Amino acid sequence: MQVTKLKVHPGLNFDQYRALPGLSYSGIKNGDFVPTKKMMLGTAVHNYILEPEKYNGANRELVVPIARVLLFQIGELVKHMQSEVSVTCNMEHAGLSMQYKGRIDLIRPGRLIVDLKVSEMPLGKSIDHFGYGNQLTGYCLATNTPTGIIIRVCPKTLNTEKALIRQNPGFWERQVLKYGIPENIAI
Amino acid sequence: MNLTPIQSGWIKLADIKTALFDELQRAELAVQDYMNGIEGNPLDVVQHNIKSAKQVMADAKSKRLEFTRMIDEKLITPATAFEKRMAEQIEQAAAIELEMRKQAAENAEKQQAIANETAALKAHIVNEWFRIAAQYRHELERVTLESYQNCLKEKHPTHSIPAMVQDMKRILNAWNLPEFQKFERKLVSDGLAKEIYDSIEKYNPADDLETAIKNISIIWSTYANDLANADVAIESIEKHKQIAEMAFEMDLEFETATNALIAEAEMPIVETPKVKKEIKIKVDETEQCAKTIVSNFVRLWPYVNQYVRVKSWTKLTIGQMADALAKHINETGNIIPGIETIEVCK
Repeated sequence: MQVTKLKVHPGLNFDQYRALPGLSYSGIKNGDFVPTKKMMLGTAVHNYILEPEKYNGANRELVVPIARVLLFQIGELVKHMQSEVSVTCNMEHAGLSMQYKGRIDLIRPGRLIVDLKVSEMPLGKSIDHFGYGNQLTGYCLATNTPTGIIIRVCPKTLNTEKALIRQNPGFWERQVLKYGIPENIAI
Repeated sequence: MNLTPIQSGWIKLADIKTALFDELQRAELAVQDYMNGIEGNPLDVVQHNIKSAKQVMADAKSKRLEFTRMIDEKLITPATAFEKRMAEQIEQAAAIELEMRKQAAENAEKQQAIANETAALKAHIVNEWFRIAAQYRHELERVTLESYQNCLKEKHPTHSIPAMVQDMKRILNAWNLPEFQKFERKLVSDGLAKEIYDSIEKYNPADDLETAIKNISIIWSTYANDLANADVAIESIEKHKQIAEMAFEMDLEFETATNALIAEAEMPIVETPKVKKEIKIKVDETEQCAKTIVSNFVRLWPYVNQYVRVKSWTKLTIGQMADALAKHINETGNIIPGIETIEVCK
């Protein structure tokens, strides 16, 4: 697997990110979907922590305690990392090329990516169930960052857990085989 | 047809029951007779009838008790004895299971504590090598630039550049590595600590020293130019040093936090058997204890009423009040003065 034409798009909002060309992990996995209430809570927490100017105050009584727990877990790192970074690149494998896009919660390029999850499901289960490992592997491959960590907070108990993602490019190689086009005609 | 002793016993019992119920029905009818039209009779007749009815009822009760006591002694008590013995055995086994679970939970907690300390030790060693390397590089650069600044300040002549460079090389060669900070180890064994230490790549300062020594000649190569405008050069170097200092501190902070996060994320989670701990109230068979429970139950009624479930308020017991107070304590963690509690594991 090779990554070319990496481009970081600073300051994009979510709609601008969605308009970027390329396939994201959630696009591959879910296609077009209507977010559930639980997903909306996660988005609100993300906004509150990473883009506070975009947080509209919804579910504040739930959002703030969850955000506090996550911020405590991230600690000093938050001031050394870029947040909500949109990236695009070409993933190349077996002579095929696929445009990829991802939106990364927190990144220090070349060193560390941190993905925040608000979920009742323990990571031991959800990494397999939702393929979080594949999602983070995509971010790491695209940005040539060796370490990806998920921090999860349970919205009910406010318990947290962390998982270091073992990168397995196999998932993305299969996606390139499925969605890629020959490199000589790729954009 | 020949009946077994048990079968004939049951038939006899049925006969006895039928005879008893006939007798009880007759007694009921007799009481009805005494009570019929009682309002129309004179007081002494009413009193006599009530007395007679009570006597009939008492006789009926004693006959009923004779029968039901026999059922109880010969049937119910021996039959329930099986359950009681089974329940006792299960209770004993459950107590053993609870002890085993508590022990397993304690062991799991100890293992988790060791795993936590192991992760912290790993992070410490990785961070220390990073800090030592970063600090060493930073110090080599700082001391070189400070010496250069001093040379400019003291306006050493340009013909002594080779001597200054040699001096600088001697200083850098003698420069010590920062010390490895001690980790307060309590649980990780010596063997495991050594294994962890050996598994982490050590910092080798040779390359950094070589680079720093090469840089000396590069830095002093512009000495003549800088000496021509020493104040500007000194100020510029000072700014560079400050920026380098800030970058060093930020890198160190980021890397330390990153390594700590990685260590936490890699830390194995030991499966801990669940031991539910619950607060119960110690209820003594004393008037004082009963009064304390009742008074607190009434005082805390707005909080404890949610825990009270009774079919009849007149049958609300001290035990039920104590249970409601215990639930309140479990929920809030509050302490109730005068109430003695015990922790029960389940």
